[in-house]
Amino acid sequence: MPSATGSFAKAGPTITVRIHGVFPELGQNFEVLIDTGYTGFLSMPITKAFPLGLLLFGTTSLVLADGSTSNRLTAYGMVELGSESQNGVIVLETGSDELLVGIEFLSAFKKRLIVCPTSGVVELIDAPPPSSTP
Amino acid sequence: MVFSPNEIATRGEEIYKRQYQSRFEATEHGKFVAIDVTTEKAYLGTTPPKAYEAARSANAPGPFHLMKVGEIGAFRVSYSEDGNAKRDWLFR
Repeated sequence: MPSATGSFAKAGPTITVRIHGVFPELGQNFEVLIDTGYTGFLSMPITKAFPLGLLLFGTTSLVLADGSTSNRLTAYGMVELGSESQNGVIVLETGSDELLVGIEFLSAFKKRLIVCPTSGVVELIDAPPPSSTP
Repeated sequence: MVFSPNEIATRGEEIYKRQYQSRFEATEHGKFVAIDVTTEKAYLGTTPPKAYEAARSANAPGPFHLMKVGEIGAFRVSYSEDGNAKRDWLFR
């Protein structure tokens, strides 16, 4: 049974999460794009992050698709997916309106992504425990 | 001390290269490291939140520059900065 169900939007698979900082009552729901080409947890526009009361962390460096690097501000916050929640380092973007979750998000929530473009259904289901090698 | 975003990133990279790079790349490859640019201390974790929690447990003042040991950046993204569409004006 899926832990969360989303949709297949024009840009790719999307799902709804709730994001907040120290004060959960400041949290808001956002539709986020699941980008498996992004190795981080969550990336969001800085203007949408301000009202959430996230803790400013500092900076980090990103490796772009062309191999160059670029620095970004970061914050620390909590993301809720259904009844589950995880803390993570959030990359703050000034040049984009998109919210993205990446591989670190799937790893933190221990989810497997299933996308069916024909039916437009996106599911996050519990990932199997790692197999132990003898 | 007050740092601009550019100063946090530049100073973090410089502290890492000067104090930690050779040691960490030999023993901590693949871990995340949060460099406190005020105290110049480094906090390691297998994930970014674990590096952050290590710094918080030590009451580190920050701000921090987050890096991944042995990599040129902490995270990889699927876009480039073509046409300035994704360029971050805070770091220009």
